[in-house]
Amino acid sequence: MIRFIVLPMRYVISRTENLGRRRFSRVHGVLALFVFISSLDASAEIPATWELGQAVNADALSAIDIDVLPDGRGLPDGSGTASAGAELYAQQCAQCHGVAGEGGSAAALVSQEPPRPDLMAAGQKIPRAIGNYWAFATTVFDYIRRAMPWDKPGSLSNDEVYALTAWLLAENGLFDPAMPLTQENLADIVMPAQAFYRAAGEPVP
Amino acid sequence: MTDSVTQPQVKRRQLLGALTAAGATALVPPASLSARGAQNPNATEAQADPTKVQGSPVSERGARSPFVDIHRRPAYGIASLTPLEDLSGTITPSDLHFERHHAGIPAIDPEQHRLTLHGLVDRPLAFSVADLKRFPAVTRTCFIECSGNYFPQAGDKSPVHMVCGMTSQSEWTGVSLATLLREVGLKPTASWVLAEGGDAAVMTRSIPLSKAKDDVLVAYAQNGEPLRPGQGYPVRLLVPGWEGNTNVKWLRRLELLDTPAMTREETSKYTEPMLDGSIRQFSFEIEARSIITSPSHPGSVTPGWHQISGLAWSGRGRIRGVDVSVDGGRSWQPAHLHGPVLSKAHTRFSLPWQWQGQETVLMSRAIDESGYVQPTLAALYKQRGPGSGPYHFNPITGWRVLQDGEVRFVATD
Repeated sequence: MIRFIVLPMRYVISRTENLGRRRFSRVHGVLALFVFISSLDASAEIPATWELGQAVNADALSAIDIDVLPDGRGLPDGSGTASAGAELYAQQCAQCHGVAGEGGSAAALVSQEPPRPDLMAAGQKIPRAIGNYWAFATTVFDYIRRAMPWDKPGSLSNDEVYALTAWLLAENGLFDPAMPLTQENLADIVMPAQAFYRAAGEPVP
Repeated sequence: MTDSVTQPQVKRRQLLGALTAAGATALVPPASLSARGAQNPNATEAQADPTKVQGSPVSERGARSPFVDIHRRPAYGIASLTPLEDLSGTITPSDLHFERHHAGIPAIDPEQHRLTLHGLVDRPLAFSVADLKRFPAVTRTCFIECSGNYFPQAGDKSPVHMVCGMTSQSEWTGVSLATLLREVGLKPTASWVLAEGGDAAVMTRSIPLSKAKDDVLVAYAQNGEPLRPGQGYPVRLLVPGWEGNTNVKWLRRLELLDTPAMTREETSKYTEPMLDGSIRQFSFEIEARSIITSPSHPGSVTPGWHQISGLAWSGRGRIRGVDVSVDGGRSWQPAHLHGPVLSKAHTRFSLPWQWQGQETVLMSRAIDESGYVQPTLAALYKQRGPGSGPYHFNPITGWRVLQDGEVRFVATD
């Protein structure tokens, strides 16, 4: 605000000086007042709020707030078993991802091999599957729920998503197929690849 | 000549040549050209002497000349590539901007669309498109490049669009994300922003708050008009200089978090296995890169003067310089940069070149204001391994000029 007042005042003063020794007349006073008032308007500082947008209530949020965080926040109620998941997988997923999750027109999902980013970089054709490349079990749930299956995205119930996630994790050797998968135990599953991840720093090269 | 032009198999290029030749009379374009012209309110059949007949009348919408046939190249079933080799300057016409989407282009009613900001904020708010347009607007020109942008799968017959057709440039207008963040108020623990699209992939990426507060826009206009559907209509995130995938289209939700969400697109995809055994994640910035767009395959040259022309860009700031080699990398000379050189923007470079008929290789090498120098393919492979790519793969590339003037792509060492 201050600079918007100072600048016009400087302008008035310089104008006054340009008039030589003529004293600061009423005209100049009016001019100064006018510039000052104008400066108030022009300086209209960014308001505390633009008063735009609608407040969002919890119901509206819950309809779209579907992300699941790596520590399990966002996981809904529900549960599913690998055996139920196997059935769903055969019906809705296998045609693209392969009968055993080996990949097809869509990505490979199953690998019980240990993560080997070094060999991947060296050029070996190793699928980046859940068991050897995905960093968090929560991502499996999150992604299936938001985007799968391809031809009916977002059509699965939470229990179905738990079941599919349980089957996929079990096939990757990361979850006991006899156990139900729930919001209590999903985020506890430690993915083998997680320890290999590091955030990029300087470009290489 | 007239007879040759009326042959149905005549090529457009031949027609153009005929048009510019002296003495061409009563030219009739081939059937396909007439059909194209019929869709173009500004086009008529080519006149032997356009100064002797009234031109086409006023119209609601302009269209390209029927003599110009530039189009994107759909590829891999998942991307539409920009024909950089057919363009001049630095702006990509909106209908030629590359597209990469994960579940197709959604049809969104702009009246119904809302962008919701919530999470670690004081006041969760949902904004309509009209709301967003009432905030102070910001306009900037910058490129968007998909981080997986190196697929010269036709070998030495790869054109520019195949080598790097997933980078394009537009002037974007929107509201600064910082403005919206101020509006909702941040909790002290907020450190990441999860951006989510309203497409069938409901695609999500996590962006560090530092970037979100820096220069990210929620954009609603591209090159002066509302976003095209393939570019995120009605609103998208614009994350200058960062890999294309973070520029979430059809933006419907921004959630302030205290952690990255570790979505599929930032773990199983858009990460790079490294030779040292690590998996590089959050490699957001697009590294400096350049490519000569002319001459290039499938073009050819004749002996004499040509203007070597190309594009250079960096997600880290301005292009400081582009060196061009006309002798396969033995010597380099600085190219002329066409100003203004903008930060995180395609920059046109050029260098006059006199071809004397001998086989050679033309190459370009970009340097950005951070001092980063575009690496050779050998350097990339040495650092990241022969299995590296396609993400963040920006090698110096070249065009081999054969003795007969044909131009072929070459992945130079």
